[in-house]
Amino acid sequence: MIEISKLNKYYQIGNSKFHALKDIDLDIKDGEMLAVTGKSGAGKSTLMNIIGLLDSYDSGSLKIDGVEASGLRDSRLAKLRNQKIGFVMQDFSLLEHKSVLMNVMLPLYFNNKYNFREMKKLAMDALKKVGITEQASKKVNQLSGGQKQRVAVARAIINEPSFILADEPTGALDTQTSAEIMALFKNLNDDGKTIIIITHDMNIADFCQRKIEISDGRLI
Amino acid sequence: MKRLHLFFSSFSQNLFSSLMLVVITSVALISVQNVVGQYRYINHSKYIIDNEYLKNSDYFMVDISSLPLEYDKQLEYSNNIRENLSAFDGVEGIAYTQNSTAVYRSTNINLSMYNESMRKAFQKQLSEGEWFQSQTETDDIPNVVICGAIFDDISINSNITIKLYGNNHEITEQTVHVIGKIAYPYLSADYNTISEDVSAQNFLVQANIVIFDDNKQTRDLLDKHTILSSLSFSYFVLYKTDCTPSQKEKVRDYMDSTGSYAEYDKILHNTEKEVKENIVKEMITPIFLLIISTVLLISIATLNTYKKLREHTIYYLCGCSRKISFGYLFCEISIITLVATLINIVYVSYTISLYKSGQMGYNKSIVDYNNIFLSIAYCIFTVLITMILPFLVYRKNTPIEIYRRNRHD
Repeated sequence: MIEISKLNKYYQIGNSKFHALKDIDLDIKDGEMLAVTGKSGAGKSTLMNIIGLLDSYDSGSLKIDGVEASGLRDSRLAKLRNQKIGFVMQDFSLLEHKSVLMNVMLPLYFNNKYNFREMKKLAMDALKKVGITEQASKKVNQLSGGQKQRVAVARAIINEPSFILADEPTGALDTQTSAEIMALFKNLNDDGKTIIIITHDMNIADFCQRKIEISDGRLI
Repeated sequence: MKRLHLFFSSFSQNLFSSLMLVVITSVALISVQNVVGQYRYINHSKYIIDNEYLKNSDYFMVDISSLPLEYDKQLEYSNNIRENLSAFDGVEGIAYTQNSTAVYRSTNINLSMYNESMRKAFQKQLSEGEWFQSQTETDDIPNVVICGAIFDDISINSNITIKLYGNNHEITEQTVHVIGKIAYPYLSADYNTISEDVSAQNFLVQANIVIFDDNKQTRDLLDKHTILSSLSFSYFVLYKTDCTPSQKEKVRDYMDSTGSYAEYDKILHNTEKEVKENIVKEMITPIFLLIISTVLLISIATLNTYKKLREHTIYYLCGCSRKISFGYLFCEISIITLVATLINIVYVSYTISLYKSGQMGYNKSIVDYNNIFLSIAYCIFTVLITMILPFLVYRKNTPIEIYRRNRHD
């Protein structure tokens, strides 16, 4: 569960402050598939960065599963990101020269729950869910765009996070591949996974149960 | 283990350049160690000859071309000159030695006899115990001062047994009592240099040696069981404190007529010259290598940070904190310096063990565990300095900015 209350974010540009997010109130329930839409520069990515604990906010409140994010140290935020959030990015954000398996295992390197053998097993299970187990030993730079995004999804779900945050996940893909990826997201959501998709593409937003729009830093 | 795996997985991308840097840095450090060792050796030699007796002395070198051909006649000729010098007014004594060889623990060692002038001239050699007190005629076990790695485990007031080789190769075991010890770098007097450019380090040599008192009893004992020879044809002529300039001039005239001499001030001057001309010259290449390796380390550290920014943004997304992320970068660079330092420490330790076991001869250089401090100091300095730029680069480029940049690209 994500609870956002009266959230504000400012950016310092030279001598002036730019009000990027204005009094955002938003609750996202477990199991929802939410699309955050809006024009370029509206504040979608800013909101995504804050929900993903990648950036700070200046006032208001953000709670993830009851944990207030403000005032937390970097190490605590990193732990929350590791345990609660799975990221799927437009540019895939994968280690190109490493194997698919290693990329999927990456979040598990930063927690102390599993040994190496367990990590490999979990990674293979995640690859099975996204349907590319046969690519496990290949290097990421040998894969197609669609395959890369599947790897990114596998990495995002390996830690059983509370929600998946996808920033324009189909931005670099063709129509058919985009549909495949969205179908994958739908399957995960059907299994109970909370998914938040940032997109400017209304066709992609239509896959989601709920849509919100940001304009000029406000929720409309 | 997992973190190590991730570290080495990332580090392996820079393996070749890292190995090259390790080699360059190791070679530079070892070269610096050798030159520093030589410099320490010369300084230590200067320290030993820096005393009131040698400051008021000349180093006499006989004219080799005027020596008779037969060895016995040479000894007689040299002894005559020495006795004549001793007879001059103003001469306190002649610091000379007589040598032989022996065996201890299956290793060949030197034997030396020091007279009173020698003990005065080289009093600073002694690091533990004392020089000789007079022995009574009933003492069967002569007192000795020991010097050398082979005697490291022998303590003062203990007895050791050495084997003496006589004229007809007969072997006699002789027990001696240790009253003094010369510690590392095991420098003992050596008069083999005949040159106007003689410097402090020329009077000392690193060796395993047993030093006896030059008295009648010891002389009789050693004459019976071994072959004593004159220590070359050079020695220090010590002047009395009230020796007048004219008395000194007479001695020097005699030395000029039978050979040549070097005044103490000239010896010091030669020593300083040796440091400036040789040591400083030899230091140029190692220092240059060290500077090159440090500059390369800084460059590679900075380039590596830029190269790895995207990779560490991905780590950040997956739940790695900025601190740990920077820690990985830090380790990737500092491991190069650490490995080079470790190699250097191993080199120093191995060299010391070779000296101690006698497998390697001494080479007018002091190599001990103090040298390691130099390596550690370089390691700390380099690790700190090579991380300044990467730290600034890392701090300036937050994961959000990297992601935005990549997105727009």
